[in-house]
Amino acid sequence: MKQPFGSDWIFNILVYCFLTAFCLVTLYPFVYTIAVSFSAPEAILLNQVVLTPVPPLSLEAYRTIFKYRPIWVGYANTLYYAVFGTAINLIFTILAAYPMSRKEFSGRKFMNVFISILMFISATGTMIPLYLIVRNLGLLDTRLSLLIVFAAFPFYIIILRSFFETVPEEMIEAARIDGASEYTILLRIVLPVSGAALATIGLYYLINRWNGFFWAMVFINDPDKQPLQVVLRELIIMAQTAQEMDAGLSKANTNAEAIKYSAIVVSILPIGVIYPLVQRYFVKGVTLGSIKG
Amino acid sequence: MRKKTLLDQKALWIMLIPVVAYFILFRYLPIAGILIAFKRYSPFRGFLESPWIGFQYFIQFVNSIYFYRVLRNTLLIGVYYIIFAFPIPILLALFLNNVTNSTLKKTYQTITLFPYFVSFVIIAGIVINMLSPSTGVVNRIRELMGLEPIYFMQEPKYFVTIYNLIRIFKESGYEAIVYLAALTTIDPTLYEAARCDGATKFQQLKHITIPAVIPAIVIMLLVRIGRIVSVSFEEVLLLQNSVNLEASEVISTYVYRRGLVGSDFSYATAVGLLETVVALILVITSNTLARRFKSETTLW
Repeated sequence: MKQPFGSDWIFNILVYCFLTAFCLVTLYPFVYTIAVSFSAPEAILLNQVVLTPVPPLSLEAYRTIFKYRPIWVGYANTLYYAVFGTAINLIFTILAAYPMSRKEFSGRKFMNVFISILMFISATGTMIPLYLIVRNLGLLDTRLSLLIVFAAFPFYIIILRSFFETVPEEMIEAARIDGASEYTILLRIVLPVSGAALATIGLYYLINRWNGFFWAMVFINDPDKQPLQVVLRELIIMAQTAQEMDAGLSKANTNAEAIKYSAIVVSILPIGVIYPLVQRYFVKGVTLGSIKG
Repeated sequence: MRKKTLLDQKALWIMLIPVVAYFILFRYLPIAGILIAFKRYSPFRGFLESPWIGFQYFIQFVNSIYFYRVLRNTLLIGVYYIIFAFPIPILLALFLNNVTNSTLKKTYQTITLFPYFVSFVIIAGIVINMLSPSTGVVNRIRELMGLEPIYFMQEPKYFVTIYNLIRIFKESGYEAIVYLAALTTIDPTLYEAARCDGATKFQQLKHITIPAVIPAIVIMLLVRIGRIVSVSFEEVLLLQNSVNLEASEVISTYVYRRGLVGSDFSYATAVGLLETVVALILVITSNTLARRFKSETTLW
């Protein structure tokens, strides 16, 4: 095949250079964090780390973090919120999506409006009233507050409803003729064919639960109930800011510096392990959402 | 005509009870609660007993120095985002689409998507530490070049740049997926025909690829403009400190600071309501435009 070879060559170079540079820039902050976490404490204090750990390599930071109780309490709490929170999210989302997906259901239109309206209300507007309601219900400082206040997101209900609509009506009607109840149909027919959609939506909820920090910070003061993100914020961000404000350039505490970076590594680790396994569901989710979104 | 069905209406309504109860209690009641913006709400008197005061808090906010400041910061962050951050995922998708080796393509996508999974607390934490004047690598490099260290987080003028760079870093790989999905709808025979006619890759990009993603770009742009006042709030809050507040205080963080930190419940709700109304108008307008655009283009 004949091609003006020269200009394609330049184009390809441009493509690969851009992509490679973008990936390197994306990876760098993580590489740097790992490098600092293994570096000698003196090297960290003298700010000598740029790309690779500065010898003598030290595990001191990790020894400190393993003994640092708040991180592990936070970890346990985050696991709790992630597991039970995501389970509640999925149950509520399924219970809402199934009736809404049935064309013969008398409340279909009402429910669609009832759920969809909420996607237009900005979170800033309801921030204070929501806090006051949770406070008046006596839910502040309880684990239940985080689990129940964010039990379902309208957007994911709409997505799952659209997916349930694709389950063949004949299959469902046939089961009804055989005397199956709506619950049996949902459990035995609809859910088993919706595995991929449920995995995708569950993953989104899980990430929300794992990464969320704002409402946890607002609702929960008791350190024994705080999730990892709230602990990390205090450890990494508040400490750094305070240090810059008070002490300026000269003073930085060896221990505090070391803890920060090893804490980041320890908390990214599970995400790094799970990420490659779930990535394809994640990519699928974006296209799932854009169909109806 | 309606088909006859054995559908059990009652069972479906019963299934919805917990869902409806949840949405009324934690989604609709807070919307009704916005009414405290027009009251002098006191926690001791409760919602019903607190006296009505009309638009007093709205007037107070509009006349305060914060009105101009938070409005300016909110819009600045949003406009800079659209100018600088919005095009990056498009470039990323166009370039990824040109990678023919599937392993390489997957590697690029895996890497660029990864930061989306990492929490903002961690990303903001890494960035703040990297920018630290004493122990951050950015100032280390400046030092090696013989330059004075900069207190990046303490200088209001850097805030918008830092914030947008972080969003580019965290979200570009994710946003690119939408454009990549649009690119997969292109008929591969178009490229074949173009190649046979001797079109260069650049010409193929210009005449086949770009026209195919333009609908997706326009729709995403409209969505962005619709959300311009709803700056993603957690990110800003995490990067804020008392010194850069002048540039980093946006409407939502101001509502948080006055309402939840300062317990000025009614005043903060009034500010939040102003934002909600503006955001609602913007979202509805941009959605309508996007829908009209969608129906006019055949691709979407």
